Amino acid sequence: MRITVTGATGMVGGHVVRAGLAAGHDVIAVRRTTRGPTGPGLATARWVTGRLDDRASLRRAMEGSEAVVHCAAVYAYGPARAAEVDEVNTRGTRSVVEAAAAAGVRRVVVTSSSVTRGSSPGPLSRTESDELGAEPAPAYYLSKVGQERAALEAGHEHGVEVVLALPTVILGGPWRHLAPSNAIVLRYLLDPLRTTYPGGCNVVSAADVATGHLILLEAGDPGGRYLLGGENLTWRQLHTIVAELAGLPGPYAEAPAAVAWLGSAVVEGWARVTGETPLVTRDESRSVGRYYWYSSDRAASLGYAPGGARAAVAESLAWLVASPEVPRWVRERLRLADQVRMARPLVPRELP
Amino acid sequence: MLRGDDARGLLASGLSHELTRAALPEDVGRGGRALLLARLSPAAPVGLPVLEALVEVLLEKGCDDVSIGAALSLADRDRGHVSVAQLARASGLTGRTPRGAPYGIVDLREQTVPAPVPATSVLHGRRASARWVDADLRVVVARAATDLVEGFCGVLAPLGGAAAEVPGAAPGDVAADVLTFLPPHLGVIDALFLSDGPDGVRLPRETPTGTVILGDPLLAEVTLAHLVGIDRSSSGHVRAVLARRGEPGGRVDGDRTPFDGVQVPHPLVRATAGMAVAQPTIGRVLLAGIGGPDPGTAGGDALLSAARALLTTLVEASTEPAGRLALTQLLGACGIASTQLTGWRTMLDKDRVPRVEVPLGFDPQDHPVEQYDELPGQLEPVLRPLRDLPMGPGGFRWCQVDGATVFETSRTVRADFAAFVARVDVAEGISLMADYLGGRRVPVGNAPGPQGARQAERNLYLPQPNYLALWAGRPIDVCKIELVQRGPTEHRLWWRTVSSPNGSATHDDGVLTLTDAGPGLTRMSVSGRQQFTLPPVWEVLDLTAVPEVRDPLLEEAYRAFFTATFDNLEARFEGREFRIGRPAPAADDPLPTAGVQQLLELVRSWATQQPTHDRQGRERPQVDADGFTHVAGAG
Repeated sequence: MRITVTGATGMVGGHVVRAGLAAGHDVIAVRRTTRGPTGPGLATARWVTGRLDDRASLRRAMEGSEAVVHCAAVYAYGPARAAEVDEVNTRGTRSVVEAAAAAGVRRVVVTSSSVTRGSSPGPLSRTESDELGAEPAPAYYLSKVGQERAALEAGHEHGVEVVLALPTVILGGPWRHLAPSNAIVLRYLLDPLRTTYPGGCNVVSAADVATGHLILLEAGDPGGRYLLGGENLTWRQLHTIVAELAGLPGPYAEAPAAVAWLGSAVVEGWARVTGETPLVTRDESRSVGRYYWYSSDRAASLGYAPGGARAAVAESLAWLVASPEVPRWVRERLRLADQVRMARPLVPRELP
Repeated sequence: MLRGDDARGLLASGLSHELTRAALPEDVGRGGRALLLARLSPAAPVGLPVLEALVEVLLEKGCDDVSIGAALSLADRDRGHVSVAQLARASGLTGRTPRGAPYGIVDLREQTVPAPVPATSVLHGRRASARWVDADLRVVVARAATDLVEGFCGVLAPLGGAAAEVPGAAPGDVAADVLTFLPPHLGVIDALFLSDGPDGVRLPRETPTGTVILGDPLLAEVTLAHLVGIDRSSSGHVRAVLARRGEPGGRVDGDRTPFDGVQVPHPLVRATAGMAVAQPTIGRVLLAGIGGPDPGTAGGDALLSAARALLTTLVEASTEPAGRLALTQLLGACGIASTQLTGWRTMLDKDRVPRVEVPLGFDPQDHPVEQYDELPGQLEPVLRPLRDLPMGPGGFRWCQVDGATVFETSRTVRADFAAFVARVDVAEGISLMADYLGGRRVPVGNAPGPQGARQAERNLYLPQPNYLALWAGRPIDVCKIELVQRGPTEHRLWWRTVSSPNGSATHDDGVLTLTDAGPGLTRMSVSGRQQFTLPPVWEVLDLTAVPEVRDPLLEEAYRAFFTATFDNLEARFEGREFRIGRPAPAADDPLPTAGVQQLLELVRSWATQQPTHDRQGRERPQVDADGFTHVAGAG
């Protein structure tokens, strides 16, 4: 099958390209600029340029394809990027589906997010039939709700089968820009107090999410939502795994939501002074205390079988420690487990 | 060594004597070009009578062309000097002696050529003064002076001017290499008026001695030390040159009676000053702030001026016990700050540690090729005790043998062996290790096979464990002979330490092995024997008697070092930046106080800015410099 993948230089998009190539598909990888592919195993895809705000370029990229996997999105928290998040995730998705229709593509898998299914005050798993309720919802969450609505509406209008993939917290690599999901792991490495939080989340590896996309491409019900999760963990359980794999102590104290909010306010303030992207935002910290736990049973019924959280965290750590995000003085104090060392193939530089 | 009142007469007889001893090239008498490398830096430039007498005598001896050359150093720039021409003017040089003899004045760094030195030299790959290299007769001439840090100062310090500045190199190493590979034919120390006192180089004080020391530069320098009554080894320049060349040859003619009534810097002051200037930033500010402002300079920024007022007063007063106590306390505090800043950077901010440039530090030919080839055979018995040890956590095992730590550690990575060794050359293994500050590697002899190589190397690492830097732990500085072996499934680098220039290591011997560990896998391992010198405080603690404390500290130190080392090898394979440190300050880097001054001015300007409108948006009345209040007119 010929597949066009948007956002192919991103973490999920890159893995979808890899998984597509491995499955024998003819993959057209769409990127915004002519910069090279991110990570190994992508060179054999056909790379084209296309922008979500340029429908003609999208249509050209999709000509001849039977399906599209739309991974391009902005994954960010905070008011500074709220407008961009909404623009790209909602309007951009509509453009993709419309371009797919114009190019004669019959099926589009859209990468949404599990956050559109809301969260729980207690340790209960949510399913595709749940919805985002009255809980605190950052602009990113709302943009994903809007994205799903736009995708389904555009698919209905133009006769394109749209399947919604709802991954949970995606860990792994490689990435060009650190996303909030891997930042969860990074924050623990940088936190000298080794703090954890009430509540929890569901983590999954990027490679498993990519495999899930391919399954949905072939077997997902049109108009259907599929949660692509891994393992439900409390924050303490997740931080314990990070600590074990990184050779760090803790986690120790559990910071309540108010403390997390205050901490993130300080981080945001400092980032404003330094002009850097904050590692956490007040917007994001509002989710502390709630359980973002999900069931992937519906996808599992199609053959989706993700690995455990430990493997996902190991992948995240393996890419993080090779990135400039982890300062030297932090990296030198890590005692990474062998599982982390083996989680990432080394990427050789080009010989002169 | 000559004593008398007439500089010209002294130099004429001295030069005749040297020519008779055939120390000078024959071309000198047949129209050669002579270059005088002169220290012109205030506050103790070489005396005009000596320079002009030298010019006249050399012209009389048959030289066609005599020039006086100098180079502007970082210290000169820090004191506000901008050109050699300015230094020459300040020294009274006009291009013609009072008797009408002409001479040129040249900036030695204006025209440069690749330094004609071997790969073992710190100047290798750098540039040297074309005028110095091409001169038929090279003379270095300087005023005798005392020095707060070095104790005394003669003709060795100015030698660095013969080459381009080498940021990160010890001045003594540069002087030693100039003296070895681009040697002056003659050194002349002008001690007619010795600039003595606590810091005669920066705070001039003229004590007449009527002496000129002329001859081999090193011999002249150590003779000066004798005459002023200071241990010659207090000078880093002398230490470096002695370490390279050994005792100076020749004999000293003349009256060797030490000068009478000379004031030299107190040893305690020298010791604390040495501690303080060990950190380059603090050192630059301290040395720029003693004496001056030099004639013809602006005097520097306000911070430097304030520092100068304090430092100069204290250094001048250090001839008295009370003043010495105050100066020692200040320098001691700066020394502690210097140590702590170095410690902080060593532990937590390695990217800001200054990198170093060094010569090889030994002659590889001193070791026959058999010694290189026998390294595996020599080291295998040393590492044999490891075979019987179980592998500990994290793939690390170790034991103690004769006070040294014998260890082995490894890591397997997901990388194809052929691809890995194509990008990670095992021969570079030492420079890829953690905390590498700098060094030099030189191929030796013919390769022992198509896939092998012999090499000599010197490397400097941060103190190990890093926290020893807080206790003035020294960098690990070792000279090694090495053997490279490359096979189809294994690449190895063997090394054995032959010396440690700073005495930081007794043993640092081992082998780095890259092994094909199966499809898509490469195993990196290091085995070795190490014994490093601890700072005095830690030696007193003697942790070997408390293995409950020593063992975890030792294991953690090794894990940290080799975790970072293997990370570096991975980064090399992947083309990521991994090296610590940053280049040492270059000659044109501004003095740090200038940056602080600019910051303070920005803050002051921000703080004193009056808002032009009040909260209601109305324009505030403005008061001008004469006190008049200006208000906006109606409409």
